[in-house]
Amino acid sequence: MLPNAAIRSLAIQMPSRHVRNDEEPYASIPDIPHNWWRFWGIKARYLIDREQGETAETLAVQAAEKALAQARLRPQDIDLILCNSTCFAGWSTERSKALPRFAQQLKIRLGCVGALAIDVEQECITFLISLQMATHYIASGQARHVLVCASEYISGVLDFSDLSSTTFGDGAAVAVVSADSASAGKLLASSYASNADFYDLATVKWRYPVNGPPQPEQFWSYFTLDRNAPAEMQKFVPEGVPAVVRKALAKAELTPDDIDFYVFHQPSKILVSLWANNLGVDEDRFLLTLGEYGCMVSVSMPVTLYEALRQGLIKPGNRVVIAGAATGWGFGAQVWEVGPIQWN
Amino acid sequence: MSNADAVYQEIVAILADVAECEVEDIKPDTNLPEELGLNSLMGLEVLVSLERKFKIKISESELARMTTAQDIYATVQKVLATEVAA
Repeated sequence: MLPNAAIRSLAIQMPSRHVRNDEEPYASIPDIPHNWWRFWGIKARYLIDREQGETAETLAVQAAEKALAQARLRPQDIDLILCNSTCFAGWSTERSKALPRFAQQLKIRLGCVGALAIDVEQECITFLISLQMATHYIASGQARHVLVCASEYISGVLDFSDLSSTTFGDGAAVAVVSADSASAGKLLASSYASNADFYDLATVKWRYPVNGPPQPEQFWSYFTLDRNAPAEMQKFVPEGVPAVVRKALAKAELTPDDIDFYVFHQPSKILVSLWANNLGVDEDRFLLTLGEYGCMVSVSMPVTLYEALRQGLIKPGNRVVIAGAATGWGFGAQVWEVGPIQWN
Repeated sequence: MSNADAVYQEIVAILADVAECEVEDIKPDTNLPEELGLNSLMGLEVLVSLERKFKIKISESELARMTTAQDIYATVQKVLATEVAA
């Protein structure tokens, strides 16, 4: 019988700085439209402070240590580390270091001496992709315990002279996924889709900041949002996530009403609401976390799952959908029957 | 208050909330984009709130044609009547 994979623990680590919309650097961004903050639904977010020694790597290590302790595992018990960080440069103390990324560094820093370490990247849905990979490695018998790490220093690629910088936040989340009995939780079904038709709407490009005279030291890789992106995204993103959710539910022979809680990616309040409306999900069955966290790219879904656990909204035995969209564009949805996930 | 009145008042309340104005500022024929500055993104917020409040589905193309509170009221009533008939 193939082993079952269950989410055993989940930990998060946020930077120390929690920055509101009326504070720098946001207070100085020019031409913020009326209702901008209301539309996106963001009031504040955490930002990495490199001067305090914070990096995506340090946050990942801290979250991983907590997740291991919660799972009552030793570093040497880990067979596989799956790690992602969308900010491909600046994730360590060396700002210019890019590749390879830090799965191997995490292995060294944690002391996971027996682990295979793999870097994974699919932007905002990477946590889902990594969870899927973890379940496959466990189901095939190649791993018993997997560390799934997402750590974002997205502020490291934001152009703070431009509106495109306003909606994001930094942070890290780590889950331990283990071979266990089905009563400990299991992945019931999943569905994914790719659509490259709108690839250019949201990318990371090497360029000068949009506003202000170009200074050589400011030439860097910046998240670049097409001016029409918010409007263009409404044409396909509101349908893209419900579509994969429905496919995953159909595979599990379930309907949207059979699900106890939905953990959605957090790109904007409007998009999350549109997804929920499309699926007939009332406000008591999903959570908005971007108000205090911003959109944390691949960390948004695990942080929302963490907050739902912390607030008692998800309990052992619940059926939970985790779903979201990623730039490029990718869509993913998983249906889980969760067990007792250790989160504190 | 009749049910129709209640529906209209709910719609005006949603519009006032999104446009961040007083309910009294919204007359049945107030041009929402021109007089209250309701742009396409704010229109989406109105759409989401209407769908959630009345448990209906309104397409974005329909929303684009609704420029007054009266327009929205007529559409909501039509959709509600269609869903009851179904």
